[in-house]
Amino acid sequence: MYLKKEHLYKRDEPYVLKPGPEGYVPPAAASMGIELPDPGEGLIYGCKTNEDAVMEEIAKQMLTGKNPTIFPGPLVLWNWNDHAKIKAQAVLEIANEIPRVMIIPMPDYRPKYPKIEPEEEINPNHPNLTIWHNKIEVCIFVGVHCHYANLTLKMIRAGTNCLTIAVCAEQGHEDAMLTVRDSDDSKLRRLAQVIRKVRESMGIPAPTRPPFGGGKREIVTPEEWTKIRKEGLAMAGNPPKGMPLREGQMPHV
Amino acid sequence: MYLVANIDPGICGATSCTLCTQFCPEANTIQYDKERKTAFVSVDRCKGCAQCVWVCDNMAKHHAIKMIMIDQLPEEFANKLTKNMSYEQENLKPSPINK
Amino acid sequence: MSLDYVKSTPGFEKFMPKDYRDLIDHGPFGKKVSVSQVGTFKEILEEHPMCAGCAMTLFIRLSLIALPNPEDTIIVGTAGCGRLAISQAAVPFVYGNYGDTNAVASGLKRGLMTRFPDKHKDVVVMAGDGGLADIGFSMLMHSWFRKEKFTTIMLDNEVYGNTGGQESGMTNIGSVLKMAPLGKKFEKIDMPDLARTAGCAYVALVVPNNPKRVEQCIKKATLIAREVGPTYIQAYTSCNIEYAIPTDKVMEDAKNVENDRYQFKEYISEDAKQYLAEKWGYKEYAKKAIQTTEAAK
Repeated sequence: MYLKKEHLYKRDEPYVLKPGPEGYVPPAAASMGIELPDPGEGLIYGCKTNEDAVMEEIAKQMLTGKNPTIFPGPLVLWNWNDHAKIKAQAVLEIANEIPRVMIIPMPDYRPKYPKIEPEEEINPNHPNLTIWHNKIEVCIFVGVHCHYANLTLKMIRAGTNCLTIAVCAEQGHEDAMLTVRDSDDSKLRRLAQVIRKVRESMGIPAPTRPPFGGGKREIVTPEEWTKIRKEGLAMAGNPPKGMPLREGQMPHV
Repeated sequence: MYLVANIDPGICGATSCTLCTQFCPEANTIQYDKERKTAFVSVDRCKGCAQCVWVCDNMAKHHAIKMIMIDQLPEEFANKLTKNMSYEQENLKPSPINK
Repeated sequence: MSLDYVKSTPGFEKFMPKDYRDLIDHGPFGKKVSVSQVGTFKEILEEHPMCAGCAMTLFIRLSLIALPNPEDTIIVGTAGCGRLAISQAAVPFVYGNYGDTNAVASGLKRGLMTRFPDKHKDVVVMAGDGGLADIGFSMLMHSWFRKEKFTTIMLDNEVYGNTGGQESGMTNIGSVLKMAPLGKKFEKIDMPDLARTAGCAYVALVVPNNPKRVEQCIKKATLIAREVGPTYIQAYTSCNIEYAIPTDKVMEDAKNVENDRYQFKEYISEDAKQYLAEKWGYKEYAKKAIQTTEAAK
């Protein structure tokens, strides 16, 4: 009853993964024939495409969508290894390129029941609350473990009209509308550069204020933000010694 | 309206036995104010079980805690919500190195 | 050992929600906390959906405070009331299927010992009386026979509280419950003696109306489980719904039960005593102290 007719998988037409609301129990993208991208590729509404094209689409959506938001997950929020440290800075570099962006953290996967402040934080078990509350229409997930990204992306597609972007450190995520794979810190920085280039070509001025927290609250002052950026740039120039700088797969050390 | 625990800072401050903080089943609900040497309830977390009242009456024998309606709270405690709370941490020693 | 993994990455500190910032700045990670300091630091347990005045919650709260290294602890639980609170705590929680908690914990502990040979990662099983003494009984006993090095904590509410009040193996003889109207026909299982026979290095029977004692038991059990062998704690955590105890009388009931059938009992093996005395400075278990107490007898 909840599944509309056009969502039923027909082998002759490819399934297009659009922003929702898809209705109660949306079909898993994998069950509709969407495959994970190969190295050097990404997914754009379910189709395998060259990574650069996906990054440009990400940039366009983040710059033009309503209430763009970055949802950093535990893999970048917690200082569990040196790579996480520089990856976090790379995420902040992306945030630095998008005007009026919000950063809403997902620090862990506890069920947060009965207490949740949907405006301030996102919980993988009810992500739609945060999206509804802040009226988010485009968002980036970065550093969320696969099994919870699965749940979260499907729930967002089911009940909201939000366009989801998964910047994934593993093999990409087929349930997100736009996804790139193997995103280590250098690829995140490349994404920031692409966003800057697209922004300049669209004639959108550089952001004048630091990123907001949930509910467009001011969390860091411009001075603090400059300091954070300065430290981040220093870290990008000379990464800490002994750091496992690996391409591709997330270093699980 | 519902009942929440309310601690009389006058009686509690005279003894500061901290028994109620140890017997509350809710985490970070009965907090301890080191400056005034009294326990206080962060009312938005209190479920109103009155276990602290029994502990204060029968174990500590101080009779400092009463259950009152949430709208009858004295002003100063109504401000002590979890959202506005700061932890007055004692100088905790580092735990033994886990090796 | 640096504890950077319980801190946020530089740049994101201010973007974290308040409870996480409190946990990082005022939490118990890497610090020595005790129940007497409660109320001055941020606890790892968060707000949870358990019933008002539940003694099980109190015990869980106390045991989470008592964990010697919460940043290096993993808790395994199963279906039942307890996991409603434990899963809200800032320690990793593994939800085992009903009955297999101790098998999961065995594999987890062995894996952690291989992965982190230079430090101890504590594994604690915290499940109800039904999950351990009835449904998980074989896994529980076999983990003890195999001498798996982790702690098992039974939250004994003497009833299946979550499903409407069926009798469990740990229900007291003669108890009449909503789903056991004829009263229980056989004796409560004597788990502490079983644990001792099966080879546990530390066994204790506690009631949460003595927070200091609960803390001591949990500390000892976790430390002994690091090197000596399996440990077992059984705690009376009354169900005030199924046994119809008014919430403000929960501690009174705990006191009565302690006098009736839950007197504090503790068993420590000789190896464990030596380990505690030598490695962790427990003076009461040092060799001289034992000899003098024996001489006094």
